[in-house]
Amino acid sequence: MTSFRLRTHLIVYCTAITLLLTTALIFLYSDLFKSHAIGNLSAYGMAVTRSTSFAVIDDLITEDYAPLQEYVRDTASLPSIDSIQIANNQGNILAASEVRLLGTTMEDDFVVKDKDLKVKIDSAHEQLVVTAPIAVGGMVFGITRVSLSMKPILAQLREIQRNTALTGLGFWILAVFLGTFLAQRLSGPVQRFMQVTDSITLGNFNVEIPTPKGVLELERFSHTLRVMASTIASRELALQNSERKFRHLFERAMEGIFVANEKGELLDVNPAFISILGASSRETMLGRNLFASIFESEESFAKFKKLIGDQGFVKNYELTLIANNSTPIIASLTCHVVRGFGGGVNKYEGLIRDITEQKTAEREIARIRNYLNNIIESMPSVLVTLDSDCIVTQWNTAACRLTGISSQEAIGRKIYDTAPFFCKYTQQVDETNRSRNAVTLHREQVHQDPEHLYNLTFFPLVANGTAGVAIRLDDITELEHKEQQLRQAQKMESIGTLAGGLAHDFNNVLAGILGNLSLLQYKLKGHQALSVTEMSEYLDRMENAGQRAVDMVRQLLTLSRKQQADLVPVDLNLSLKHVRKIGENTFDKSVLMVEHPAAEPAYVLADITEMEQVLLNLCINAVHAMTIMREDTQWGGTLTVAIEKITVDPVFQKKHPEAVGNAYWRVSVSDTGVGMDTKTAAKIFDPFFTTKEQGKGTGLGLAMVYNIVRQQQGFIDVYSEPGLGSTFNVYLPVLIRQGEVLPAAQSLDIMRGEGLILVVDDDELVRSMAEDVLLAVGYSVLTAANGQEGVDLYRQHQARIKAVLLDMAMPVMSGREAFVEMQKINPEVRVLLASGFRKDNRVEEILQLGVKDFLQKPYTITSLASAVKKVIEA
Amino acid sequence: MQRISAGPAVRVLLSLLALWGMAWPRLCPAQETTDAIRFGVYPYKSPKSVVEVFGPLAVRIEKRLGKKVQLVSAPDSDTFLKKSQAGEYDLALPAITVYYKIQPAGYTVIAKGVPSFWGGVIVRQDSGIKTIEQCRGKKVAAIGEYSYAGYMFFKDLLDEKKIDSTKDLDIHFLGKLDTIIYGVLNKKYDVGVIRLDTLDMKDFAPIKDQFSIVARSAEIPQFPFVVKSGMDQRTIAAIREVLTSLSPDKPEDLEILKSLQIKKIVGATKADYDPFYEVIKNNDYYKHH
Repeated sequence: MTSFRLRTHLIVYCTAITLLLTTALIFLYSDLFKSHAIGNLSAYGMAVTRSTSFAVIDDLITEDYAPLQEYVRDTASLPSIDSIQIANNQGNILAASEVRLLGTTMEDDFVVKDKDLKVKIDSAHEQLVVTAPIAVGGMVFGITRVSLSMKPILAQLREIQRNTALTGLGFWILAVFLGTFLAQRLSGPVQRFMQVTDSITLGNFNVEIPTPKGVLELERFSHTLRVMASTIASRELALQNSERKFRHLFERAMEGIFVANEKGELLDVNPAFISILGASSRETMLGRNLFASIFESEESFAKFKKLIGDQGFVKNYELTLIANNSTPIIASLTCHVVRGFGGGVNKYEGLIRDITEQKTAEREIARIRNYLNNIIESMPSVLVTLDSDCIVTQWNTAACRLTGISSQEAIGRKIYDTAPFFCKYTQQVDETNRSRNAVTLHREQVHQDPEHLYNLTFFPLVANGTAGVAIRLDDITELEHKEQQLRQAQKMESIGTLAGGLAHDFNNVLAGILGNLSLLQYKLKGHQALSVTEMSEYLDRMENAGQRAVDMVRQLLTLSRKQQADLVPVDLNLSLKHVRKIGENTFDKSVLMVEHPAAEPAYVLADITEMEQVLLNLCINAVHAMTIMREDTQWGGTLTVAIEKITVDPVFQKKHPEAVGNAYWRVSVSDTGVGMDTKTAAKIFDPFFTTKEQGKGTGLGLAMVYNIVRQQQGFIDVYSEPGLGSTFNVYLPVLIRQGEVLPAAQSLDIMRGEGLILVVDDDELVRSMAEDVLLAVGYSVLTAANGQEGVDLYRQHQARIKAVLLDMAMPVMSGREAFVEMQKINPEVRVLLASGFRKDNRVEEILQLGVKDFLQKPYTITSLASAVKKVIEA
Repeated sequence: MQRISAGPAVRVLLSLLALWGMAWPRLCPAQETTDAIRFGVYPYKSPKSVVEVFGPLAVRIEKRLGKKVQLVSAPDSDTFLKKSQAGEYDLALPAITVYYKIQPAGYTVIAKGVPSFWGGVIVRQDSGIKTIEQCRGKKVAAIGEYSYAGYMFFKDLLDEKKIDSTKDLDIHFLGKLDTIIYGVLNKKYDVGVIRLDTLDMKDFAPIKDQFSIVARSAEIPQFPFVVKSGMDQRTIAAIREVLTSLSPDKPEDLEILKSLQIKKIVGATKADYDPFYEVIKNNDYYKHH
């Protein structure tokens, strides 16, 4: 295609547009003028015919034709009228401006057959002919025809066309000049732009880009060109940087990277490649044949060649290569063929990775896995793992033994299909999956064999990024059996412990019986008269002594009964009463036993014997702490047993995470004995741990207490101070009997307050908990870890401190001493005494000194807030 | 372009041609339509009014006969008389005075409108004029000398009272009834001579009571429908049937009858018009025109 200059294009376009517009203008304007002029002429012609009709109708009706010719002559003299004719309704011309037509008939073409007016252009004569009927009342009496000359119109039209053409010619000349001018304006900058783009193409980005003014497109083009040049320059730079970066990566890569030609001769290699192959330098590698250098055997090379020939690439092809230092290396080769346009091999690119260590690690992992599998398989416990869809992923030998289902059958199937007895643990599996916390079930009979009991533990499991559950079943049948034996042995020990006191009492009973009997025999032998009343008195005494012996024996029999645990509703108040009865006869008389039973029946679901065993063991321990374990001269003390209902609140739950119910019965067994340190307290529930002298304790009592309480979903806490005594709190879930309503989670009716409270307690957990509680209910808090620190703080902030929460037993300075010091600073000091001990004589003594109130630990948010408020407002 | 100059012979020829052209309409009336029936109506109304009134009747006759009926009138009474006498009309509605004159030309009465009417001399009720004598010296408006109801009978009454119509009265011939009636009412004229049933027309009913009638003419029969002698009896019967079948009960007929100021058309003969001839035959105007 031939190219023309911009100027030529512009001139041609301008000419074409001008000609097109001129032609269109001529046609459009001519047509408009003609339509308008002919319209006007038609209207004029119609007006003349209408006027003629009005003028001659009477003459035609009355057949008075003489005036018609005169009328025609007058009308013909009007402008533009070439001729006029009037005919009767038969078309006979009655009057005409051209007299030669008189007596003739109107040309058929123009005869009006109906009542409509007709307008027609007679092109041959350049006339507009208007023909109209002359009618009245629907009756046509004649016809009039007026021929109007169109010559002036046509002459005017030709004049217009000529003028328009001349105007168009003028415009064309102007357009040619304009096109030339515009071409000159545009082609100059375009030429300069072309030079600039040539420079940019050659890589010269610093060339000056022209900035023509006045032409928006050129200005924009200039701007765009500048941006484009800048962008290309930036990209060029980025490309160079990228090349540098990838070159850097190439040089620093851990994998050996290579490029080889179609024959396999190395064209480029990176340092890692050189290192892997143990070459001395890059130069020594270039030109060497890749395949001859790395394949240790023809067979391996042939296999590789076939793969890459078929696929065009090979990924992670493992081979063993011998490096220059003769060390065998396991390597992974990834290579692909770069083909040319003809489809032939152009070059090979790829990377080689030393995977010797990886392979070693994999072997080690396999070994460990095998080792772990052996352990799992050899475990006596059943171990089953499930994925999140409860599909079995692990099934050990113990599981096979238990179910008779092999691991091949079990793995990959839903556990509920494999071992239907697991269906009853769906809830635990789901809960473990959901909460990601372990769930443990004790003494479960999972299989058809009722003789076997199992502990089930559901562990959350995350393996290979997938959540699941591991289920462990421990056969505790044997253990349970042993435990029962142990429990019985421990009971016997308790009975043995009681036996000393019992023997003494039993002797007293026997003495009572035998004494009265001797007295009776003596009197009978002496023939002394015995009144009926006297006789009756002796017999009553003997009967009472005998009855007492029966009671004692019955209690012991009850306690020593060997039977299966039978969970029934047990009123703790009643159990306490029974234990008291036993204690009355067996405990050292130097011990004062004080009871605070619950105000209402304190039902728990437990085995009666086990429950009494728990109480009795705790009481025996308390008695021992106040008697045989004393090393000082003091002997005896107070044993306090109290039962009260505890409603769980967040503070309580924080202190006792094992609390899951809303309400518990707390059985507190307190003594004023030797007490123990925290180190000892941490071990007291361990089996066979005892602080008693050899032969005085087996170390099984508290272990058994712990087990019994745990089996009944309860828990125990201990508070003890060396030299002061101990308090064992046993918490057992409140049993809701028919008709009773379990209290809802405690609605916290908490008494809020404000002001600064000083908390003095050596137990950090208790101290921080008290601080949290008091802050939560609106107070500001200062804390001190012992009595001395508390006194110092009180001295500094006494004006602001509203009340002091003071622990009773603390190192450095006890609560009692601290209170005395605080009283010296401020006699009005408001102190709330707190202690794990119950409110006994020691507490009463401090209260006598002026302490406002006492709060027993552990306290709840409600009790603490209420007690503090009460002390402040006292 | 070569100019052609007309010679004397050519000029003469063209002049003759022009004269022939001008005379042609008179020489060649529409007789060439021999099948058409020419229905001539006495020019008692304007030509357009004549067409409006008698056009529908002409169309009915045309439909009944299956022939074209050409409705025509004449510029004036004399022309109508002459054309009638020349036998130009096949069917005609002449004025009574014209009828008596064209009768010799062979026209036969076939029907007439009823009822008859009267001419009358009207004055304003407050004018104080009660007799013809009191008309002396007054300004009189009449239709024309040719009209019996509109002047002739009044002239006869004046003659009887020896009142010279040219000297003792100021008579104006207005030709139009409404002009006369409103002229008297508006005191432009003192006396009016009109066809009396005109006052019964809807337009004049509201003002009728403001006039009093000083004198009235003899009973004047309606214009007769006449046919030219030689028309075949079947055609005559058909025309008569069309005319007499007009019924005031038919709305389309009522329009025609109203425009003719008659109740209906009945068959009639010459005998129905003879009595009135006796009244008019001595009238001066009639005698001399």
